[in-house]
Amino acid sequence: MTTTAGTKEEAGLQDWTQGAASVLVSACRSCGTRWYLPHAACPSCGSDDTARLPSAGLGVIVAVTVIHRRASGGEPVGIALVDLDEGVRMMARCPTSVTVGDRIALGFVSAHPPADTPLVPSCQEAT
Amino acid sequence: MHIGVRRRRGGGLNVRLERASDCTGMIQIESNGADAVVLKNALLAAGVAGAVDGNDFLVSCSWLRAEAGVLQDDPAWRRAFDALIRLHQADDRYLLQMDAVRVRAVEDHGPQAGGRAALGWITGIGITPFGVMPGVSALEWQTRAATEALADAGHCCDDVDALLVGYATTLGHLMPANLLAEYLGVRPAIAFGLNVGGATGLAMLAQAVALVSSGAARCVLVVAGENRASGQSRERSIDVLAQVGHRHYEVPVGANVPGYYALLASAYLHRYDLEPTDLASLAVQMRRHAVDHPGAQFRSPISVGDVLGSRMIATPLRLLDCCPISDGGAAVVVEARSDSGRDVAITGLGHANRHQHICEANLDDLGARRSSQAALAVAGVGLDEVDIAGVYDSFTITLALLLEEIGLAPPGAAGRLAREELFSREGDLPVNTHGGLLSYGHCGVAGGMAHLAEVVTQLRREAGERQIWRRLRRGLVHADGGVLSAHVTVVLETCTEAA
Repeated sequence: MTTTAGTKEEAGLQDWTQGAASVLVSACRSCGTRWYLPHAACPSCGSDDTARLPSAGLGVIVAVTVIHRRASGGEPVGIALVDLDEGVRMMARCPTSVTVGDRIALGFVSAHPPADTPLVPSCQEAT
Repeated sequence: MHIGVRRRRGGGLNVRLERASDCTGMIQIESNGADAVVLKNALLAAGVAGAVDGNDFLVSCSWLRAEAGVLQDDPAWRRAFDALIRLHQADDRYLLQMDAVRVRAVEDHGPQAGGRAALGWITGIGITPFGVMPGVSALEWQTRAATEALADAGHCCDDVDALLVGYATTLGHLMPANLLAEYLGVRPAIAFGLNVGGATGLAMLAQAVALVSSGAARCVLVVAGENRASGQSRERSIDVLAQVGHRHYEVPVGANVPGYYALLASAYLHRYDLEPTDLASLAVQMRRHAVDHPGAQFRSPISVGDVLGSRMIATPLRLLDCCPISDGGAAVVVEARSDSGRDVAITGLGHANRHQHICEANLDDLGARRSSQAALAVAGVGLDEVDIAGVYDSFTITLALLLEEIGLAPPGAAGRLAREELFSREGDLPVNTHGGLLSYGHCGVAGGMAHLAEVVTQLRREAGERQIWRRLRRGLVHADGGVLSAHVTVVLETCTEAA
């Protein structure tokens, strides 16, 4: 599994899409804009002077759903959109009990248990 | 013919001829006014290849293109031409584009629609019944729709000089337009496929308009069709569609298309403090419309209770909040000229593409407002002048969000207005009178074209038992693709009903 590698100085940083238990946030050194999904350059000002930094993993639920997939036969899966405190929006697994507005902390779970990998982000109500 | 005009800051016009087409016909420059006489004389003095016809001077497009640079240097010609452009703008015959940086003058090719020049004309439509109908291939669905549209327009395969075909997930072919051209027996000069999800049909319509208005084509056939229900498993369809999510950052988390829209519904219900019952009333209205359409996949009436009692798909969306997966096809023929009172004018087009993935979507600016405002500005009309709408309704939440962002319903009010039957055939703004994706069915690209076919049918007053009997002058059709990612809006007008 590959993603964009970030800038040279953060080439060593890896996020959960590369198997690391980490969420990375991109930031523009020119205008300060932050984003989550890979972009070729800053989506606000176009600068390619960008950095990736680890998220503290705290945020708020802005939308939540529980997906019921009959054919796969598995348990219903909770999915949320989370606004991280770093100012970006991401998608994560969540317990079916969370609601919009809840403060959450991110962790990681296996996407396809009982296999250990791949890891995907998952949130729990912050304590 | 196009005459490109750059608008100077401060209001003046800086005329520059551009994109004159290769069409062999002559363009008529009207000589009603002293300015036109000056222009005519200047053209004659310059030894222009053309012909005098009474008071009019006819000049070929290819000449205009070839000589534009030379003529621009002639101050008398420039003055006269500037004046002529202003004269026509005062006549309302030229279009002002939304961004106000470019003004494009479009030669009028046919009857006026609502006082505006048509960008192009829909001269034929074809729409098959939708449903689960095994044994018919995607290519055959496309062929059925295309054949019907050509017959409706009074054309044969030989007349088609451009063929545009939407993708079909069950075909997965690299060259859908060439594939259909060969199968159908069309040998078009121009053929290409298009992929922008649910907005593909209207995006193809916009490209068809560009082709006919530039003179690159005279008769454009736009086709979509797919055996999406019968040609692959339901799970396969859902997995294919889920790929509109981000390959690395969203799809692995485990969501699918109903999940992405359920997230939008979750945020929407929370924001306006609404309940799932509010969305359910939109599904009920779509079904009520489909009851009267013999081609609809679902024709048994449903209640709000039926929606709320149906199987949960992705909270808060239940089965009846979601469109079905269907088989079927749809096609339209677009031409530069109209020779029939049945033809429907395309008077406005708008687009917007603000994001691809839900993580990047601005929920207050998804693109529908920009797209519809652009289309209405080109048509020179306001929302209150729209008599009927066809709005993409892959889920109840899709319809609510689009109606509200376009401005056809106040924020948070789409469900309530549906309950009050505003969107019924007898209501102030009939919406999706064929039953929409939710009840007519959704076979992919053709699903988004069914709204177009229905609005054309209603404007032609050919909808039979489901015809809206009050006067219909103008319709608006809007489609989105992805997760409210790609937006296209079309404004349609009758030529017979126009003032």
